[in-house]
Amino acid sequence: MVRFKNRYILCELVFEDDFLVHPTEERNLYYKIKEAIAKAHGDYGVGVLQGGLSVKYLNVYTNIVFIRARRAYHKLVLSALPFIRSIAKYSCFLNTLHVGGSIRSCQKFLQKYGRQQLAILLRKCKTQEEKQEVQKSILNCSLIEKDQVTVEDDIGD
Amino acid sequence: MAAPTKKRARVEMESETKSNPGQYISEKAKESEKRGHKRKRAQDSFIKMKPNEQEDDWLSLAPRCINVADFAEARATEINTMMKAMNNISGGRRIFQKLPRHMRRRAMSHNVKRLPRRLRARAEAEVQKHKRANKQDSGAAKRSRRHRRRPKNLFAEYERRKRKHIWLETHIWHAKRFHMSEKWGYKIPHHPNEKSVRASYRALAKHCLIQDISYYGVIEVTGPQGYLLKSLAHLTNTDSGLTFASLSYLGGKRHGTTMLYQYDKYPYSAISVVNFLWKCLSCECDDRVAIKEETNTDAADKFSSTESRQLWMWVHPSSYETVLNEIVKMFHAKPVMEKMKKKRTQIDKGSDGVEDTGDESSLDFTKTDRQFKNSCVHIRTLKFDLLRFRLQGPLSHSVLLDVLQSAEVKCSDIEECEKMKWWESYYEDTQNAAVHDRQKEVWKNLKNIRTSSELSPGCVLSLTVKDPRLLLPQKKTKVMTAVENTTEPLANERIDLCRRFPDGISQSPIWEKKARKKASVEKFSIDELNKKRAEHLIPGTVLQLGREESRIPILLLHNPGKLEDVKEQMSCQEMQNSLGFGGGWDIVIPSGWGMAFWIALIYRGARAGGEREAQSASAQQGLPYFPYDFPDTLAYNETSNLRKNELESKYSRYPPDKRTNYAKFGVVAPFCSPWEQLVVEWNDTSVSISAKEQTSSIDVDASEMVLNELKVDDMAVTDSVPRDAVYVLRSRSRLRHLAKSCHRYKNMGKDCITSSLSSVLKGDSHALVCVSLRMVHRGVPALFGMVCLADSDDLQQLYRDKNYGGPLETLHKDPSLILKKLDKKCKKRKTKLDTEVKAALVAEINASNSLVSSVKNSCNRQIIGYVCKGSHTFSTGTGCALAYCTIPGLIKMLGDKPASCHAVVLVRNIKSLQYRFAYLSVLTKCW
Repeated sequence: MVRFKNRYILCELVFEDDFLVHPTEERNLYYKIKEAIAKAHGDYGVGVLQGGLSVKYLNVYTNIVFIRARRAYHKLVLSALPFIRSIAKYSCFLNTLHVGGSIRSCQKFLQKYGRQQLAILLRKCKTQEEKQEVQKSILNCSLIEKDQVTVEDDIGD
Repeated sequence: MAAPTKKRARVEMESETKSNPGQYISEKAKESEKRGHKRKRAQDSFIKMKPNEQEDDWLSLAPRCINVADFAEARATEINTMMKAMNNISGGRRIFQKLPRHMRRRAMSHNVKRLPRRLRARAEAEVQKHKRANKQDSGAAKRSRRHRRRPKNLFAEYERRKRKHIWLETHIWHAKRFHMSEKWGYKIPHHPNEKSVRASYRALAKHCLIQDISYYGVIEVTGPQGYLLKSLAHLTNTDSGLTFASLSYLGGKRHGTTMLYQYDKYPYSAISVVNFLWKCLSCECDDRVAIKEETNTDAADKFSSTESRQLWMWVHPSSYETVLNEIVKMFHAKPVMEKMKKKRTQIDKGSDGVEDTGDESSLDFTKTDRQFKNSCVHIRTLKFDLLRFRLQGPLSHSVLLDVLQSAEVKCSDIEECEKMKWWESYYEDTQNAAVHDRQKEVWKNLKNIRTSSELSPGCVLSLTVKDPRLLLPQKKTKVMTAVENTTEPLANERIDLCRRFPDGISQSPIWEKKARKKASVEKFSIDELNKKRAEHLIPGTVLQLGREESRIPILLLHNPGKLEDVKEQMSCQEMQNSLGFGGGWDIVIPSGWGMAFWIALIYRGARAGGEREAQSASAQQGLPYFPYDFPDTLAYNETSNLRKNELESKYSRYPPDKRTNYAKFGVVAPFCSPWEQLVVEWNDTSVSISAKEQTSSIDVDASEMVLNELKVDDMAVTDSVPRDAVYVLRSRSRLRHLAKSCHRYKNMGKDCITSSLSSVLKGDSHALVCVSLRMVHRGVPALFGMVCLADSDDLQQLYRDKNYGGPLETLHKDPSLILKKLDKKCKKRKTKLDTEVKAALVAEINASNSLVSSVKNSCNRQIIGYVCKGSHTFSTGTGCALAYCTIPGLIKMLGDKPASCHAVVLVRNIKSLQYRFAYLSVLTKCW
């Protein structure tokens, strides 16, 4: 059937300062994105994108966000994202990691990406304690993987 | 690539400053968030955020860098949540629906093997789970239609379905043609599926309308006459009309109707209207009673008689249990536990076709009747033993004449070896046979009568008739009266006959349980009849079965329909038109014969109606219908509560703009009538007026004076009963007095009327009065419509302008709507609603919800009562209604009414602002 096709943009928020948690909210980011689009593409951009634009997911601990936009105009969003310089008074920028056709594909990417990050972190560890802790968390997220029959591999698309 | 480098920096910094992992810095962050919407300001605050600055020292609590462990853990948990989210198949989808499109195959849900092997186990589990759930829902898998439709299985299914609600014998016939409703433990036909409102009225007025009212249960009371009468007198009151003890009913020649109250509680705590019939005395005794009747011997004699008598009471199912309990309690009777006899061998084994299945129910002994006994009185419920059909309309007599033919009961050649039929053993007695001959004669003579309204009202005739299935016409026909009869003048003897049936005419074997049961058991099945018919050489010849043919004992109860008494108020012409309107016969037959008689009656052109038709028939006659129009009974409370819930849920299903806003229409009670509150309010005002009178001696209107008098009397008289208990005034004499004062009258002053009323209605200020309303001009009153007092201005305008339609109610304001609007406005302007205004509005809403506000003064005109039943009546061509009004309200209305006019009130429906004028007259006969 006919449906709206979307693109999901997976971004990382990179803050200038290094607080552990930045109290940002989805709507803060949403308004920021809209502002940026208005600045970069004017009323046309806002009008064309307002329909499907939303922030689907925001993790304040890992600073990961999913942004949804209509597929036809999602490039306008991509091009506007670099103009975001701050969110809720914290200055930051958005680092686009992945553009996917469904939330599922973004989730998949994020999973893979997270593992990579943990591996890098492990290599960078200096003290033995740190190393152990990182190993523990790596084990944590892979143990569950073993318990469950990994569907995404099973289904194999 | 930026991210890893960043992380590296963080990790390096970690060793320098170690601090706790921070949580959300909630309040202050939000505060500053508000401040720093703009980018520039954000930057400023960012500069300020440096830990060494004094102002924002809260930030110093937060870590300048991150802990490796926390960092790793956050990532790990995110990975886990992502994985969970992907594994979770949301929206009730099946496992194969998660497969990519190119891997999908046809019929995957049916055949697990079409799935890739690694998914099969899970798919199989899913299928099993589904199967289990299905089994819990519907039990065993459905059998094939052919299996289900086999007569044996079909009957088993019917038996199962009958368990929840009792079926009438004609249930299947009705279920095919009627909307059935589940009420009072029965499945009752509500109305036909075809368009039939007018057709039913035509049948009622010109031909014959028939209803199966077998759901009226019978309570049988047997005991010595004197004792029974004395006890039953506690449940009834002679004030409200003739009771069980009335001589005209006691002989068993007439059936009567009376109102039952709880033990010695009259006029409070009405239970139900019952229709009753005494068993006719055997011939010699009957003569004695007849003599008594003529010589008018003193009433004490009937109370002292110790003869054993049998009384049947037909009670509406809504109040059946209450009546039974009350009677059992009164006699201190104990339940008799009778061991259930073995299931009777069913004589008619063959199936009679689907339509005849009602017969089985009567033979079902799981539905046994209960019995109660005390030393001399025996009470028995006969819920399943007797059926009753009601035939209304002028031609019901002719229809019955065609259906019922007296049977031959002379038992000439009984072979000794054969078992005696019930009628053979009963009519062996020569006296019984003589009675039968007399009945036969009377039935023959009745052929000369055009309609049943010529008979004496309420008379009872019993017959033993032939099997009606043998007399069925080939085709469905419409019986009309023979014209020659009408021209012929009635002979004197016939007139006598009409006026009074000979004695003992209502003696019937139907009173005996044995005969009744045998009559239903000794019935030929249709199957057997058809086989016998097939043996005939010439098709269509009438079956002559001789001794084999069944004889059925039946009772015919005459219903007089509209009597003069009801319509004293109406003009002469109307009276003539409607005299005997809705009258006819009720036919009582033993169970098991329902379908046979029903089909026979239908084949004569009688039109079947349901409960709706019964109600509309009573509306056309202007009579109340139990239990909907008896607001002081328990049955009414139950049914009205049900109705209220139903209406409310229906109302709340609609969106606000698609339903009436009753608050705007000034309707306080759109789903039920608040009788108690109305009565209390009318009595309160009278008190307040008296107080006012005492303080400032303003000249009070005469009618208000009356109110005060009433009030005082009320206080003096009724101490024992709950003072604000509502009851319906049923005392004939007082009602008559009220009714008279509704008419136009001359040469009597207003004061005279009101003062006489007050003296008559002593202590009845808490009562409701049943009134009938007839619209002056237009308008059809409907259920819950408000009966209001007309202003003198209204009346004057009506007298001046004959076409004046009536005043309009001003549109009320709905406080909840206003509140909503204000809220919206405030939201737009981003201001806060004034708390005082809001509190006032909320209080108003609460008041209107909880009915605390006044009912009586809820609209422009004072409400004195509510409509119970209203409709357009075809007989008068106007809207008519039956309503109940409070006595103080009525007296006020009558006091204001000009002497030369009939009493006029205003009626407003709940869905309209228009008041309409209606003539009000008090009903003196309330059932």
